[in-house]
Order: sequence, then C-alpha cells, then structure tokens
Amino acid sequence: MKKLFTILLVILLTFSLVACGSSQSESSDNNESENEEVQTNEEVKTISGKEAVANIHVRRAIAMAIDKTFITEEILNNGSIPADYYIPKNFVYKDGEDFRKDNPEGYLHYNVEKAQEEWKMAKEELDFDEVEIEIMNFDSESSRKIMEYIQAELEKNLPGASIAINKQPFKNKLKLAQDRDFEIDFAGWGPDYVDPTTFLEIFRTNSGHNTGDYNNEEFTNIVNSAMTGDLTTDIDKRWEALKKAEKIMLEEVAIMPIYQKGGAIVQKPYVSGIYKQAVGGDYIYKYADSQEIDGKKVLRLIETSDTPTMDTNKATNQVSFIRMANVLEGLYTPDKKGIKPGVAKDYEVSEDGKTYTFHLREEAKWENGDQVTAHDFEYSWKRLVNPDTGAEYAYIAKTAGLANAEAITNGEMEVDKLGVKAIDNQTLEVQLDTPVPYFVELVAYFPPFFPVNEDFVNKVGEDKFGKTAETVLANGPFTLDKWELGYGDELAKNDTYWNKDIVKLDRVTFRIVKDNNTAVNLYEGGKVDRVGLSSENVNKYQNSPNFSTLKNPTMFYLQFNTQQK
Amino acid sequence: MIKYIGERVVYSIITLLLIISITFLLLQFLPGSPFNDQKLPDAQKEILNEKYGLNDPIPVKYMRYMSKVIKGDFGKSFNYDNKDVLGLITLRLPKTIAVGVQALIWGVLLGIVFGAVAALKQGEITDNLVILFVILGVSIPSFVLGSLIQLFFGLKLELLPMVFDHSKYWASTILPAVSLTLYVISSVARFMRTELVEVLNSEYILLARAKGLKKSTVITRHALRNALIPVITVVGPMTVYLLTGSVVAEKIFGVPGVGLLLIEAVNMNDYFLILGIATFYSTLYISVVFIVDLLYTVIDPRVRLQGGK
Repeated sequence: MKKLFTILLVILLTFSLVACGSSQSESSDNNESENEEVQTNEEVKTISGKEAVANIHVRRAIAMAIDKTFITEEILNNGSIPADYYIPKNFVYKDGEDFRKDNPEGYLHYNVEKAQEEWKMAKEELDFDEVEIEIMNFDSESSRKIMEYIQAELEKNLPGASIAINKQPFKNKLKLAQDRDFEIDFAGWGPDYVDPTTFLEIFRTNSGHNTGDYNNEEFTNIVNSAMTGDLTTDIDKRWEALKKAEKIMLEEVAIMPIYQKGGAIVQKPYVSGIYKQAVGGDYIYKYADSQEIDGKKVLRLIETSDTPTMDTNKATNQVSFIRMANVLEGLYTPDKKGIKPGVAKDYEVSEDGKTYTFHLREEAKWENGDQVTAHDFEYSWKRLVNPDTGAEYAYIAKTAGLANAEAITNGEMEVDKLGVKAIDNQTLEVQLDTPVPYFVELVAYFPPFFPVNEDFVNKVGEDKFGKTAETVLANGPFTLDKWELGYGDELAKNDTYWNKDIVKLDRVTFRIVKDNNTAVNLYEGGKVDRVGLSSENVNKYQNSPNFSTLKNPTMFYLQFNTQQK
Repeated sequence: MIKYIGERVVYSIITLLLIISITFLLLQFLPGSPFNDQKLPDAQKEILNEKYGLNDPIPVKYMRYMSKVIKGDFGKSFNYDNKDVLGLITLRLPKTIAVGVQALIWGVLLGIVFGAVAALKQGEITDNLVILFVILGVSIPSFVLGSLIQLFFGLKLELLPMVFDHSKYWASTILPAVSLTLYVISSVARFMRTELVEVLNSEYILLARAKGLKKSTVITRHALRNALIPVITVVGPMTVYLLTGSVVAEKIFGVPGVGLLLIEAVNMNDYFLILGIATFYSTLYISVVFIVDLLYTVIDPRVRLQGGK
C-alpha cells in the first residue's frame, strides 16, 4: 500500500514537472513570436563589434561615456588617479616643469551628452541600431570589477550597445592581442626610460606593440623624429611636438586612458628617505633611515616574489631591478629627484650629439677592492648585446641608440663593433647611431647598463654569475649579503662604496610574503617597517597618519582594434 | 612476495614515464613561452627561442628531454636564470616536509584516538562532540583557520612566529601544520568511528568476547586492527597532499615550500620546472600507494598474497 502510494506520488510529480516545463516553453514561444512581429515591423540593424570600434565616432563615444573617478575611488581605492591623458603625471620634466603642466587633464573628458552625439553620428555613418562589442580583460579580481563597471556605464549611456567581457589569462591575452583577435583590449604600459617617447613609440605605424594597428602618419613622423630624427637636436621644439603627438592619438582614440596606477602603503613613523623612481629599480634605500635594532639601523621590508637572478645583464624583473639599483651603481645614478654623477664624475657630448665621453672617478671601487673602470662598462654592454648571453633586454641597447646595437643583437654583426670603448681605465667613449636625448638617464636608471667585473665573472664562472649572494659583486651603496629563494634576501651597507657616508642604514631585509593580510599582521606586530596595501586593506589604514599613496608612471587603458583586421 | 614487489616496481616506472610524457606533451599546448615580457620584440624572442631550443619540433624536444631525465637531469629553470630544477626542488622540500609530516603525525594520531573514543562511547555526549568537531574540521577552509590562528597565536598572544623563520625553525612550522592538521584529524576520525562501530557490532568480536577475552584485549587486538584498514586507505593520499605542500598554508605562513614553487612555475611557463615538480609529485604518489598496498598485507591477513607470510 505504502509502495503504491509512493509510485503514484512520483508519477504525479513527474507529470506536473513536464506540464510546467511545456507551459513555460509555450509562453516563451509566445514571447518570441511577439518579438518577431515587432521585428518585421521595424528591422533591427546590427553590425559587428570589430566594424564598430574601427569607427572614430564609436571610439570617441566610448571614451566620453565613462566616469573614471568611480574606478579609482571606489574600486581601486589605492591612490590611482583617473586619466584622460597618456603621458603620466610626475614622470618627465624639462627645466623642472612637468610634461603635463600645460594640459593636466588630457583630452575627451566624461560627458554623456557629447558621447551620445558621437554615438548618434556613428549610428548614422555605419547604419546600425544595435551592436555587441567585446572587451578583453585580465583575469584578476580588481579588473573584473573595473570591467563590470565599464560594461554597465557603456550599456547605460550608449543606447543599443551591449558589452561582452572576455576574460583571459595574461599570456593568452598577449597572444590574442598579437594575433589582432580582439575588439577592445584592457591593457597597461610602463616606461623603460624617462621620456614621453617610451609611451608614444608603441603606437607608431608598424611598431611591434601597436596591436590595435593605430595608423596616423603625422603622429608616427613626430615620434620617429623625436627618437632618431631632426627633433632630437631641438629640445624645446621636441617637447611641444610630443605634446601634439599625444593630442593626436588621444583625440583619434587609439586608446582610451582609464587611470594612472597608484599604490598605497603604511610605514612606521621612524622610517624616512625611501625614494621612488620612475624607471629601473623602483626604490632606492641609500638615503633611507629606520630604527636601531641591537645597535644596528635596520629597515625591514616585505617582498611578494623571488629575485629570479642578479645577473646584471640578464635580469628583467622588477624585484631584481630593485636589488641592482641598490647594490650596483652606473655611470650616473638616481638621486632624490632625477640623476646625479655616479661612477662617472662628468661627461662631454660632441656637437652632433652622437659621441659621449665619460670621465670615471678613481675612488669608485668594487666590493672586493678592485677599481671600477671603463672596461667594466664596455664588458657589460657588450655582454648585454651578445646573442650568446641570451639577455631578454638586449633590445634596450638599441633604444639607447648604441651604434650597431640592433645588428649585433640580431646576430648579423660582431659584438666588437658595438659603439662603446674604454679609452683608458678612467675614460669611456660611447658612439650612438643618432642623438638620443635621454641617453644618460637611461644608462643611469636601467640596471642592464650597470658595470660588470669581467675578472669576477671569469672567476665564478659565466653560468654561476649572479645566482647566489656569493656570486654577486657590488659597487653600490649596499652588498647583497644573504639570498634564499622563496624566503628572502638581505642587503648590508657596503664599506667600499666611494660615497658610503650618505648611507645611514646598516641593513635592509626583504622577507617574501605573498599574502597581504599576513604582511599587514607582521606590520601590526612590529616585525616589518613598511607594507604595501591591497585595496581591501586600504580602508583599515586610510585615516592613519602612517598611510600614504604613491603615483606610479604606469598607465592602464582600453586599446581599440582600429583597422578591422 | 619478492616477485610481486618486482612487478610493482616495473609498473611504477612505466607509469612514471607515461606521466612525464603526457605532461610534456600537454605543456607544449600552453599558450605563450617562458619569455613573456610584452615588451620583448619579436626578433629578440625568436633569438631566445632558438637559443633555448624551443623552436625545435616536439619529437626532438621530447627525445632530448627524456634522454636527460633517464640520466637523472631534470633540466634547468627558465625563470630562475638557468638554475638546476632538481636543486630548486630540494632546496624547498625540507620546509614542506617539516610542515607536512607534523600535520600528518598529529592528524593521524589524534584522528584515531578521537574516532575510537567516539565509537566506544557511541551515542553519548563525547560521541556527539567528536561528530561536531569532525563536521567543523572538514568544513572550515584551511585559509580561514590559518588566518585565525595566525591572528590569535601569532599577533595577539605572540606565542608563535606569524611566518616561517629560519632562526625559529620548528616553532614557526607549528601554526602552518595546525592549519593543515584539522582536516586530517577530522577525516581520519570520521573513518575510524564508522569502521570501529561496524567492527564492534560484528560477530567475531562477539565470539572473542564469548571466548572470555578481556574487553581491552578485544578492542586493541581485534577491533582496532580491523578498523585501521580503511583508515590506511585515506591516509595514503593524504600523505601525498601534505608532503607536496599546501599552497594556501604556504602562502599565509610564508613557508618557502614546493607548493608555491609549482604555482610560480606554471605562471611563468617554466616548462622544465613544472615537469620536474610533476614528476616529483607522481613519484611520491606512486610510492605511497605502493607502501599502502604492502601495509595492507601486514595488517590484514585476508589480503596477504600467495606465498607471502
């Protein structure tokens, strides 16, 4: 009896479910047919997303339809600033004047009315009512939030637009961009050297990084001329021309800037003098001060990832660069602001701007007592471009304008033909292919241009150089004292550094902690002196006197596929 | 028995070679290359690919790698500037083991005790408490537990180091081990309780009691021994899980272990490092399964193999 009842119940349930399902499908059928009726009355015209973003009015509409302050203040909340510009603020100066001084706010500001006007023009020109546009995104949590906001804004402000988000792991995203397999790409760019061209050059026609195939002859000519042509000799004219170049590409919306990246930190009140650099290794500690522990001044810091290598020429990673900026010193060296003489006392430039002669100071010493000579630079730079070294940053030698660099890195010319020569121990002569206005700054900031002691490399072995603390030879303010993969490393004051009197700290320690909550706990427990904050930890410290934000010269933007390829 | 062991060893090696080969092939389909810098010009990337033999056809790369593996050379890491893969793994292994073994020993011992007590006091308050503990233990994620004990024992009470510290090696491995062990205790206790309850209700226990054996003898010699068999089955894979390093615990407690190394290797397309760690994991897994199978024959006469005594 009980069994029978159960069976009945099951049958009943099944029937009701089926009935439900069919009635639902019936009702949806009805809806569809209603829709069809509407459609037959007035056909909805659509176009592809690629076709849409290739149109300048579509791009201008998008660029003006998003309120970026919400992204920086509510989503990122870490000192990032909303940007309608591409060359970052506080990045490059001429006679102490910021590149952005005349035009701090950039172009194409948030303005829904204007955006809708452009959108209407686009609709007329391309003849469409609705369009679906896909935006390629990073797979991080914060970029998901940013993109969901952008999606909502665009769909709200541009009638008929629907936005699809295509989340991709970083490596895949790079490849899809390279293959032109995208409509809009959420991307970022950071500088290699202190000059507007480090940002502008990637949007030149045929630049390898111009994945959106932005094509404007005037823009390309200005940037080319500023890098290797006539403009290199007239600094003032060059400065104005580069401002114009930025205006051209932003008004044609090669990209839509979103924000200039910031960073939020807390640091103990006794810590001071940590200077942030625009390029190269992020921080310099030679002027830093901290509290005494057991009679020694120690600065304790957190790092989130390993130092992959300390091989001067092969390093590519920011963590390695920070170590090198503090352990090594180039011809010129980063100062509190800008650069000042380092291993070189001074230099002369020839009339044509192509020959630099550096005079090195005799008192500059390596950690082992050897003198730092012009040969150490010649050896280092040749090692950088030598294809046998396999240095990823070999191409930076071409950016610096070093004579024959490109042919040598491509293996088409002998390494000895590189435009660098030690005349004697104290004199280094450098030949450039074209005048490069930012040459001295590039070799001052960029670690692969720092000197390498040939005898030392031969002694420890080419394949072991820079792989352990023992196979690193310092000539800068600090030595690399300890280094354990996965755990961290320690810098100690270098007593053989020629300018050691400016160095206040006895020791800088880096402990690798990947979890930001753990890092914050260590800070609270007094185990570290300074910590970077992830956005969820910012709220906790925002009102603390120990809280501060940093501006990085890194830009994030939407890049448009402008050529319908 | 010796023949059986010999056969198993041969099969294990074949399995291992298959795993290496399949992993090798799968890695070839990963997008990108170890040279991921978006600023790297194509020409330069090509030179690097050529230098490191990444442009060769897959069979050539495969043969080159396998011929090295057979000699015990697992290649070099791309990301860590050509450091030896084996060296990178062995550098980090001791810390992972220090944490894992502690978690395992505490987990298994406490798990057996909790499970046994619960089974013997079936239906009583103690039993219910253990069941509650077990439910909490399997449902609280280790990152929540880890963060909580770090905050409480590390920051507030300052009893134990918050992160791994060389100068306090053992003290600093306690918190990560605790964060992992709760799950082990719970799983083992759950199995132990279920099995022991079943065994205690079986007829041979009744027989043993009827023979006049003392209750304690019956429990230790007959009941526990039988209940342990399924427990060993769960402990095997758990050992592998603990010794390969929990990414979560390593991240929260800053333990420089193998778990994080693998994550980094995958992120950076560090092919040989990924392969090396995968091989290491597989070897560990195969050996543990093998040892568990051998243990069965020691504990349970019913699975003893022909000719084995």
